[in-house]
Amino acid sequence: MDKKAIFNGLYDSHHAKVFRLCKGYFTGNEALAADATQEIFIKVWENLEAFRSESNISTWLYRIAVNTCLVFLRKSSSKKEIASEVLPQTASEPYIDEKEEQLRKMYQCIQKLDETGKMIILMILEGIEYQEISEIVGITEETLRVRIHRIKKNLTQCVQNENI
Amino acid sequence: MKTFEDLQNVWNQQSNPSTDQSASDYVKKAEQHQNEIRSNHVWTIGIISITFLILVGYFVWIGIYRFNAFSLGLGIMMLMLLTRIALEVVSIRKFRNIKPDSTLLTYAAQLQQFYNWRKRIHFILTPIIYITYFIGFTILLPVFKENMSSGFYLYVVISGFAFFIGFGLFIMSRILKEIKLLNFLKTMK
Repeated sequence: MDKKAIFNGLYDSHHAKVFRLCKGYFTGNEALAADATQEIFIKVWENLEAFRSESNISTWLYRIAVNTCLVFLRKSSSKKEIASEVLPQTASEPYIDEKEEQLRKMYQCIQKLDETGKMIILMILEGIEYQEISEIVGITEETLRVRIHRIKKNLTQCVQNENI
Repeated sequence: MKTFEDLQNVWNQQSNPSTDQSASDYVKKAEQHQNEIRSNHVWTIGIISITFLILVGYFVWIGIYRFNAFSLGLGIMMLMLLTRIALEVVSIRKFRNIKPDSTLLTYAAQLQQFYNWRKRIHFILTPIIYITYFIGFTILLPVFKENMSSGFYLYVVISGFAFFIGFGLFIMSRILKEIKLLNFLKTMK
Protein backbone atom coordinates (compact mmCIF):
# COMPACT_ATOMS: atom_id res chain seq x y z
CA MET A 1 0.00 0.00 0.00
CA ASP A 2 1.42 3.42 -0.84
CA LYS A 3 2.29 6.03 1.77
CA LYS A 4 -0.66 8.29 1.02
CA ALA A 5 -3.15 5.44 1.28
CA ILE A 6 -1.74 4.35 4.64
CA PHE A 7 -1.81 7.94 5.90
CA ASN A 8 -5.40 8.43 4.74
CA GLY A 9 -6.36 5.25 6.56
CA LEU A 10 -4.69 6.43 9.76
CA TYR A 11 -6.39 9.82 9.44
CA ASP A 12 -9.84 8.31 8.92
CA SER A 13 -9.50 5.85 11.81
CA HIS A 14 -7.74 8.01 14.37
CA HIS A 15 -8.18 11.74 13.71
CA ALA A 16 -11.22 12.16 15.96
CA LYS A 17 -9.64 10.17 18.80
CA VAL A 18 -6.36 12.06 18.57
CA PHE A 19 -8.22 15.38 18.57
CA ARG A 20 -10.24 14.42 21.67
CA LEU A 21 -7.09 13.17 23.40
CA CYS A 22 -5.39 16.51 22.69
CA LYS A 23 -8.49 18.43 23.76
CA GLY A 24 -8.54 16.52 27.04
CA TYR A 25 -4.83 17.17 27.58
CA PHE A 26 -5.26 20.90 26.92
CA THR A 27 -8.22 21.31 29.28
CA GLY A 28 -10.83 21.52 26.54
CA ASN A 29 -9.01 24.17 24.49
CA GLU A 30 -10.08 23.32 20.93
CA ALA A 31 -7.68 25.72 19.23
CA LEU A 32 -4.67 24.16 20.98
CA ALA A 33 -6.05 20.69 20.32
CA ALA A 34 -6.40 21.48 16.61
CA ASP A 35 -2.82 22.85 16.42
CA ALA A 36 -1.41 19.85 18.29
CA THR A 37 -3.42 17.41 16.13
CA GLN A 38 -2.02 19.06 13.04
CA GLU A 39 1.54 18.76 14.39
CA ILE A 40 0.92 15.10 15.25
CA PHE A 41 -0.31 14.18 11.78
CA ILE A 42 2.55 16.14 10.20
CA LYS A 43 4.99 14.03 12.27
CA VAL A 44 3.09 10.87 11.30
CA TRP A 45 3.51 11.74 7.62
CA GLU A 46 7.18 12.67 8.05
CA ASN A 47 8.02 9.47 9.94
CA LEU A 48 5.74 7.02 8.14
CA GLU A 49 8.47 5.69 5.86
CA ALA A 50 10.61 4.90 8.92
CA PHE A 51 7.84 2.79 10.51
CA ARG A 52 9.20 -0.73 10.77
CA SER A 53 6.17 -2.66 12.06
CA GLU A 54 7.90 -3.26 15.40
CA SER A 55 4.54 -2.37 16.90
CA ASN A 56 0.99 -1.98 15.74
CA ILE A 57 0.67 1.15 13.54
CA SER A 58 -1.98 2.60 15.84
CA THR A 59 0.39 2.14 18.84
CA TRP A 60 3.06 3.95 16.83
CA LEU A 61 0.65 6.80 16.01
CA TYR A 62 -0.49 7.21 19.62
CA ARG A 63 3.12 7.30 20.80
CA ILE A 64 3.69 10.25 18.46
CA ALA A 65 0.44 11.81 19.72
CA VAL A 66 1.25 11.60 23.45
CA ASN A 67 4.88 12.66 22.95
CA THR A 68 3.82 15.66 20.88
CA CYS A 69 1.20 16.76 23.42
CA LEU A 70 3.71 16.34 26.26
CA VAL A 71 6.02 19.10 25.04
CA PHE A 72 3.67 21.05 22.78
CA LEU A 73 2.85 23.87 25.18
CA ARG A 74 6.29 24.15 26.63
CA LYS A 75 8.11 24.27 23.31
CA SER A 76 5.67 26.55 21.55
CA SER A 77 5.45 30.32 21.90
CA SER A 78 4.53 32.00 25.17
CA LYS A 79 1.27 33.12 23.54
CA LYS A 80 0.13 29.51 23.43
CA GLU A 81 1.26 28.97 27.03
CA ILE A 82 -0.84 31.88 28.22
CA ALA A 83 -3.82 30.66 26.22
CA SER A 84 -3.68 27.27 27.90
CA GLU A 85 -3.84 28.85 31.35
CA VAL A 86 -7.03 30.71 30.54
CA LEU A 87 -9.52 27.90 30.96
CA PRO A 88 -12.96 28.29 29.47
CA GLN A 89 -14.91 29.44 32.50
CA THR A 90 -18.31 28.24 31.48
CA ALA A 91 -19.67 27.71 34.99
CA SER A 92 -20.62 31.36 35.32
CA GLU A 93 -22.57 31.40 32.06
CA PRO A 94 -26.30 30.87 32.43
CA TYR A 95 -28.18 28.11 30.61
CA ILE A 96 -24.96 26.10 30.14
CA ASP A 97 -25.47 22.63 28.75
CA GLU A 98 -25.22 20.12 31.61
CA LYS A 99 -23.10 17.72 29.59
CA GLU A 100 -20.67 20.53 28.69
CA GLU A 101 -20.41 21.44 32.36
CA GLN A 102 -19.72 17.81 33.31
CA LEU A 103 -17.08 17.65 30.60
CA ARG A 104 -15.49 20.85 31.87
CA LYS A 105 -15.24 19.37 35.36
CA MET A 106 -13.66 16.25 33.91
CA TYR A 107 -11.08 18.34 32.04
CA GLN A 108 -10.21 20.24 35.22
CA CYS A 109 -9.90 17.02 37.24
CA ILE A 110 -7.76 15.41 34.55
CA GLN A 111 -5.37 18.38 34.88
CA LYS A 112 -4.83 17.49 38.54
CA LEU A 113 -3.31 14.13 37.60
CA ASP A 114 0.42 13.76 36.93
CA GLU A 115 1.50 13.88 33.27
CA THR A 116 1.63 10.12 32.76
CA GLY A 117 -1.69 9.71 34.56
CA LYS A 118 -3.28 12.29 32.25
CA MET A 119 -2.14 10.44 29.15
CA ILE A 120 -3.25 7.08 30.54
CA ILE A 121 -6.75 8.22 31.48
CA LEU A 122 -7.26 10.03 28.17
CA MET A 123 -6.36 6.84 26.31
CA ILE A 124 -8.69 4.81 28.56
CA LEU A 125 -11.50 7.25 27.84
CA GLU A 126 -10.82 6.88 24.12
CA GLY A 127 -11.24 3.11 24.43
CA ILE A 128 -7.63 2.12 23.73
CA GLU A 129 -6.83 -1.38 24.99
CA TYR A 130 -4.70 -1.80 28.11
CA GLN A 131 -1.98 -3.72 26.29
CA GLU A 132 -1.70 -0.97 23.70
CA ILE A 133 -1.59 1.72 26.38
CA SER A 134 1.21 -0.14 28.18
CA GLU A 135 3.17 -0.22 24.87
CA ILE A 136 2.52 3.46 24.27
CA VAL A 137 3.55 4.56 27.75
CA GLY A 138 6.37 2.06 28.23
CA ILE A 139 5.27 0.28 31.41
CA THR A 140 4.18 -3.30 32.03
CA GLU A 141 0.51 -4.14 31.84
CA GLU A 142 0.50 -5.11 35.54
CA THR A 143 1.89 -1.71 36.54
CA LEU A 144 -0.58 -0.05 34.21
CA ARG A 145 -3.57 -1.82 35.78
CA VAL A 146 -2.53 -0.68 39.25
CA ARG A 147 -2.13 2.88 38.03
CA ILE A 148 -5.43 2.82 36.18
CA HIS A 149 -7.29 1.70 39.30
CA ARG A 150 -5.77 4.60 41.25
CA ILE A 151 -6.34 7.14 38.47
CA LYS A 152 -10.00 6.17 37.98
CA LYS A 153 -10.59 6.45 41.72
CA ASN A 154 -8.90 9.87 41.96
CA LEU A 155 -10.68 11.20 38.91
CA THR A 156 -14.13 10.03 40.03
CA GLN A 157 -13.62 11.46 43.52
CA CYS A 158 -12.41 14.76 42.09
CA VAL A 159 -15.43 15.11 39.79
CA GLN A 160 -17.78 14.21 42.66
CA ASN A 161 -16.15 16.88 44.84
CA GLU A 162 -16.61 19.39 42.05
CA ASN A 163 -20.31 18.57 42.11
CA ILE A 164 -20.73 19.44 45.81
CA MET B 1 -21.46 11.53 38.18
CA LYS B 2 -20.88 8.81 40.71
CA THR B 3 -18.82 6.19 38.91
CA PHE B 4 -16.13 6.06 36.28
CA GLU B 5 -18.71 4.64 33.87
CA ASP B 6 -20.68 7.88 34.24
CA LEU B 7 -17.54 9.81 33.30
CA GLN B 8 -17.04 7.48 30.34
CA ASN B 9 -20.60 8.16 29.18
CA VAL B 10 -20.05 11.90 29.36
CA TRP B 11 -16.82 11.52 27.40
CA ASN B 12 -18.48 9.35 24.75
CA GLN B 13 -21.19 11.93 24.18
CA GLN B 14 -18.68 14.44 22.82
CA SER B 15 -19.37 15.38 19.24
CA ASN B 16 -16.76 14.57 16.63
CA PRO B 17 -14.41 17.42 15.88
CA SER B 18 -15.59 19.73 13.18
CA THR B 19 -12.58 20.23 11.02
CA ASP B 20 -12.10 21.77 7.64
CA GLN B 21 -8.80 19.94 7.26
CA SER B 22 -8.61 16.70 5.35
CA ALA B 23 -5.77 14.16 5.24
CA SER B 24 -4.48 15.84 2.05
CA ASP B 25 -4.37 19.19 3.83
CA TYR B 26 -2.11 17.65 6.48
CA VAL B 27 0.14 16.18 3.79
CA LYS B 28 0.43 19.62 2.15
CA LYS B 29 1.23 21.18 5.54
CA ALA B 30 3.87 18.47 6.20
CA GLU B 31 5.54 19.24 2.87
CA GLN B 32 5.38 22.97 3.60
CA HIS B 33 6.93 22.31 7.02
CA GLN B 34 9.83 20.38 5.45
CA ASN B 35 10.41 23.20 2.97
CA GLU B 36 10.43 25.74 5.79
CA ILE B 37 12.97 23.70 7.76
CA ARG B 38 15.20 23.40 4.70
CA SER B 39 14.90 27.10 3.96
CA ASN B 40 15.67 28.02 7.60
CA HIS B 41 18.77 25.85 7.50
CA VAL B 42 19.92 27.46 4.28
CA TRP B 43 19.36 30.96 5.71
CA THR B 44 21.05 30.17 9.02
CA ILE B 45 24.05 28.55 7.36
CA GLY B 46 24.13 31.36 4.81
CA ILE B 47 24.13 34.15 7.40
CA ILE B 48 26.71 32.45 9.61
CA SER B 49 28.92 31.68 6.59
CA ILE B 50 28.72 35.27 5.33
CA THR B 51 29.56 36.61 8.81
CA PHE B 52 32.49 34.25 9.01
CA LEU B 53 33.71 35.12 5.49
CA ILE B 54 33.52 38.84 6.30
CA LEU B 55 35.66 38.25 9.38
CA VAL B 56 38.10 36.13 7.33
CA GLY B 57 38.14 38.88 4.70
CA TYR B 58 39.05 41.49 7.30
CA PHE B 59 41.68 39.19 8.71
CA VAL B 60 43.35 38.66 5.35
CA TRP B 61 42.98 42.32 4.29
CA ILE B 62 44.52 43.72 7.45
CA GLY B 63 47.42 41.31 7.50
CA ILE B 64 47.10 37.74 8.64
CA TYR B 65 50.82 37.46 9.19
CA ARG B 66 51.07 40.29 11.65
CA PHE B 67 50.31 39.38 15.24
CA ASN B 68 48.74 42.46 16.66
CA ALA B 69 45.68 43.53 18.61
CA PHE B 70 43.53 43.40 15.50
CA SER B 71 44.47 39.85 14.49
CA LEU B 72 44.18 38.69 18.10
CA GLY B 73 40.76 40.26 18.66
CA LEU B 74 39.38 39.11 15.34
CA GLY B 75 40.87 35.65 15.75
CA ILE B 76 39.19 35.28 19.13
CA MET B 77 35.82 36.36 17.71
CA MET B 78 36.12 33.93 14.79
CA LEU B 79 37.12 31.05 17.04
CA MET B 80 34.19 31.67 19.39
CA LEU B 81 31.79 31.91 16.46
CA LEU B 82 33.04 28.59 15.07
CA THR B 83 32.74 26.98 18.51
CA ARG B 84 29.18 28.20 18.86
CA ILE B 85 28.28 26.89 15.40
CA ALA B 86 29.82 23.50 16.19
CA LEU B 87 27.83 23.27 19.43
CA GLU B 88 24.58 24.07 17.65
CA VAL B 89 25.25 21.49 14.92
CA VAL B 90 25.92 18.83 17.57
CA SER B 91 22.78 19.95 19.43
CA ILE B 92 20.59 19.67 16.35
CA ARG B 93 21.97 16.19 15.57
CA LYS B 94 21.38 15.00 19.15
CA PHE B 95 17.82 16.31 19.09
CA ARG B 96 17.08 14.63 15.77
CA ASN B 97 18.07 11.28 17.30
CA ILE B 98 15.18 11.53 19.76
CA LYS B 99 12.47 9.64 17.95
CA PRO B 100 8.90 10.91 18.40
CA ASP B 101 7.60 7.32 18.17
CA SER B 102 9.43 6.09 21.31
CA THR B 103 7.31 5.14 24.31
CA LEU B 104 6.18 8.11 26.40
CA LEU B 105 8.58 7.40 29.27
CA THR B 106 11.53 6.71 26.94
CA TYR B 107 10.81 9.96 25.06
CA ALA B 108 10.62 11.93 28.30
CA ALA B 109 13.86 10.33 29.54
CA GLN B 110 15.69 11.05 26.26
CA LEU B 111 14.48 14.66 26.25
CA GLN B 112 15.60 14.99 29.86
CA GLN B 113 19.05 13.69 28.91
CA PHE B 114 19.21 16.12 26.00
CA TYR B 115 18.17 19.15 28.05
CA ASN B 116 20.55 18.19 30.88
CA TRP B 117 23.32 18.23 28.30
CA ARG B 118 22.06 21.61 27.03
CA LYS B 119 22.02 22.88 30.64
CA ARG B 120 25.72 22.03 31.03
CA ILE B 121 26.44 23.93 27.80
CA HIS B 122 24.35 26.90 28.95
CA PHE B 123 25.96 27.17 32.37
CA ILE B 124 29.56 26.40 31.43
CA LEU B 125 30.35 26.92 27.76
CA THR B 126 27.89 29.62 26.71
CA PRO B 127 29.09 32.24 29.22
CA ILE B 128 32.73 31.43 28.36
CA ILE B 129 32.06 31.72 24.61
CA TYR B 130 29.97 34.86 24.97
CA ILE B 131 32.35 36.70 27.25
CA THR B 132 35.42 35.62 25.25
CA TYR B 133 33.73 36.83 22.04
CA PHE B 134 33.30 40.25 23.60
CA ILE B 135 36.80 40.26 24.98
CA GLY B 136 37.84 39.80 21.35
CA PHE B 137 35.64 42.73 20.38
CA THR B 138 37.07 44.86 23.18
CA ILE B 139 40.63 44.08 22.01
CA LEU B 140 39.63 45.46 18.59
CA LEU B 141 38.43 48.78 20.01
CA PRO B 142 41.82 50.56 20.14
CA VAL B 143 42.34 49.56 16.48
CA PHE B 144 38.90 50.96 15.58
CA LYS B 145 39.65 54.14 17.50
CA GLU B 146 42.84 54.66 15.54
CA ASN B 147 41.20 54.06 12.18
CA MET B 148 37.67 55.47 12.52
CA SER B 149 36.17 58.89 13.03
CA SER B 150 35.27 59.62 16.67
CA GLY B 151 31.54 59.62 15.84
CA PHE B 152 31.64 56.26 14.13
CA TYR B 153 33.88 54.82 16.85
CA LEU B 154 31.35 55.95 19.48
CA TYR B 155 28.58 54.28 17.47
CA VAL B 156 30.58 51.03 17.32
CA VAL B 157 31.25 51.08 21.09
CA ILE B 158 27.65 51.88 22.09
CA SER B 159 26.04 49.46 19.63
CA GLY B 160 28.57 46.77 20.49
CA PHE B 161 27.89 46.90 24.21
CA ALA B 162 24.15 47.39 23.74
CA PHE B 163 24.18 44.24 21.63
CA PHE B 164 26.22 42.47 24.33
CA ILE B 165 23.55 43.25 26.92
CA GLY B 166 20.49 42.84 24.68
CA PHE B 167 21.56 39.59 23.06
CA GLY B 168 22.71 38.31 26.44
CA LEU B 169 19.21 38.88 27.83
CA PHE B 170 17.72 37.11 24.82
CA ILE B 171 20.00 34.11 25.32
CA MET B 172 19.09 34.05 29.04
CA SER B 173 15.36 33.96 28.25
CA ARG B 174 15.91 31.00 25.90
CA ILE B 175 17.96 29.20 28.55
CA LEU B 176 15.27 29.77 31.20
CA LYS B 177 12.66 28.29 28.85
CA GLU B 178 14.74 25.15 28.37
CA ILE B 179 15.32 24.81 32.11
CA LYS B 180 11.56 25.13 32.70
CA LEU B 181 11.00 22.30 30.21
CA LEU B 182 13.70 20.21 31.90
CA ASN B 183 12.11 20.71 35.33
CA PHE B 184 8.77 19.66 33.87
CA LEU B 185 10.30 16.52 32.33
CA LYS B 186 11.83 15.58 35.70
CA THR B 187 8.30 15.19 37.09
CA MET B 188 7.53 12.37 34.62
CA LYS B 189 7.35 8.91 36.15
